[in-house]
Amino acid sequence: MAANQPAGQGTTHGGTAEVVIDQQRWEWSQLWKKEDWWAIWLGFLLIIVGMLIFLPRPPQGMTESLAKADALLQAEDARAPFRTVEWHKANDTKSGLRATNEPYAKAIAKWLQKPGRWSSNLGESLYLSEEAAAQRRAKAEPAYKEAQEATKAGLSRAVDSQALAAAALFQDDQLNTDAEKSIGEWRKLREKERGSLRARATVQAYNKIPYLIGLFVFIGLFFTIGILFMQIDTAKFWKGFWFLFLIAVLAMIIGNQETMRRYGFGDVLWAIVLGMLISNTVGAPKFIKEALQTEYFIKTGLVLLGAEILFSKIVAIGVPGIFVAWVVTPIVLVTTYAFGQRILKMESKTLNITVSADMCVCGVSAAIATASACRAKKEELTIAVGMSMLFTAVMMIALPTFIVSIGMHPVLGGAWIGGTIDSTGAVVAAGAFLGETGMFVAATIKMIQNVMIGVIAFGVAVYWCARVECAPGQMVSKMEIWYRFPKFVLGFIATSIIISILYGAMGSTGDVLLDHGIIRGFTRHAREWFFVLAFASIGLSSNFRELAQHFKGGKPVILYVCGQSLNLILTLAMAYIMFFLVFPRITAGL
Amino acid sequence: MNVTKTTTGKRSAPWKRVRAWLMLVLGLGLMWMVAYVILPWGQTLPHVGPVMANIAEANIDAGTYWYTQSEETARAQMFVRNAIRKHE
Repeated sequence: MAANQPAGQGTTHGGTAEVVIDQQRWEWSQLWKKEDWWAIWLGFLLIIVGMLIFLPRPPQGMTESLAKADALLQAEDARAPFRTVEWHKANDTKSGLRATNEPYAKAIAKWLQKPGRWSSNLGESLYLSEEAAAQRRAKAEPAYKEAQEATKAGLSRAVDSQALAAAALFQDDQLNTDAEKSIGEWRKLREKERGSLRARATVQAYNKIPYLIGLFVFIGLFFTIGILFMQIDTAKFWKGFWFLFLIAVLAMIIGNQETMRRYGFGDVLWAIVLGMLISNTVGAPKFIKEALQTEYFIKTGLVLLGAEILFSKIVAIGVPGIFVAWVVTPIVLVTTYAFGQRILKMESKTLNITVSADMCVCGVSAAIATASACRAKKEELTIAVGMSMLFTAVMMIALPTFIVSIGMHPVLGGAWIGGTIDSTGAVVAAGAFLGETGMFVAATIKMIQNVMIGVIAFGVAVYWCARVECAPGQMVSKMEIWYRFPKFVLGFIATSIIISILYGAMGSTGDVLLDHGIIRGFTRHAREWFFVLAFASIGLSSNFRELAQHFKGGKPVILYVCGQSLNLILTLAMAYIMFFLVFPRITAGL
Repeated sequence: MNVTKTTTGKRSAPWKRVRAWLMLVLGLGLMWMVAYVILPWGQTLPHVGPVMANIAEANIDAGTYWYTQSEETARAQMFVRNAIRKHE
């Protein structure tokens, strides 16, 4: 962010805007002296290690199981006018095929995992004795067994109803409707069984402390590679890193408290809050100064995030999804930004674009990517993240309540939720209130919108270099754009393109080995830790007064509310047009 | 006199330190109130309660901010892709 300008770049403060007016130059030594490049090298390193671990170790019989499931899905699609019991089972088989279920992947996850969930005893986030685990299991078991029995009975009823429909060669509409209804009820019972009941009934004892100590050493050493080359005092970095890591762990513990989880107040928020609380009361200890490498942590995390931006996912729900997530979102982004500049007269363009992107794309992740791409100030990122989390909690409750109260179709409601609520967790939570179909549509639309952040971050980085960071009327040459361009964005885009190509080429095995292997089983855990460390750094070096200055006149709130209002209107209109007027067959198929 | 160096380089008098520590304790107390008083009370409100109960029953982590952190997005993607295949 703004604190670290590229080498050779000078700035002149003219009025309220910071404009770059001098020339820069490229030096090859930047490749090993600058954090932008180290973020790329370290991000690549982790992805390559992930590939070496996961790609040669697919689940046994993966190709055969996928082929069998695909053939069964196709056959069932042709056999019946509704999704049969066999169809659902084949879909579940495909869904359950994951490299993350392999023993080696579970061992890796154990070392990278965050502190656990807890409700009233904070210690349970780190340690749960065998006795306490057994007590929990015993308490939850009767209800879980009851749910299991109910699912079995539901399946039996579904099979019987389907058999009646099949006996009539699926030509009897009433029998088809009855069978579809029975199958739907079985799926609902299955969902209930697999929710919190199963989690409580299968809880195991754990002690996360040794793993967290191991992770502390691993992450410390990992970042030390770059620290050594960037001429930062390594001893001083380690002296403060343990404190920073401790704050990150505490933030994760608070974010995993049951009530916080339900409201969506996750660890990044608590990392900022804890950091700011310390720095604005007793003061951040001086010895942590060298460990507060916000840029380094955040950029490395963003390069890893790039690997999670898989472009082929944008067609997950067909053309309607692309229109809802990829047409409405840029329109809202550009309009909100223009509104902020021309009507609200926002003092800071970087705050404007960060809030606009976080409001209309995907909340925290969009704020991080956009703020880094335009070098926003850390306080601006804090404001964007804080507002996003508060408004998301409100919308997560208000939107599904409204949708259910007016009886809106779950596909339309799901698309509306997916396109407007900021964070994925809140989208899933709100969508689940509409039922399984609503949740699936909402989650898929949000996933498609997530992918868009790659394009937006790149676009913002180019626009800022070419247009915003210039003196009025100044023409910027291509080389000048290259000099100014935040280089880590190249790594962010490169990982996205490489992994997207690989994912596309691998077909169904890409889901098993890449999505549910390298990404969900390895790099995303690392990325989550890096972001929490970055936000703890931001908090520990932030000042309430500076934060308040950026909030002057409540303009960020007005910007968010107005932009979100437009987003709500356009997304609903587009979802209705696409899912009900242009592609009603897709809606019927869901 | 005991003085503590901070990142801002300021040296503060003991009474200021006490005040600072009290502010920290107050801040932590506020966080406790949010977690154990305000938010649980919010769950008793008519429109909030049912949504929260549903989140608890389905075991959803509403705090995830990216799709790969959510198990539900993986299930959703698989279901939707297979479900719309014959309708596209």
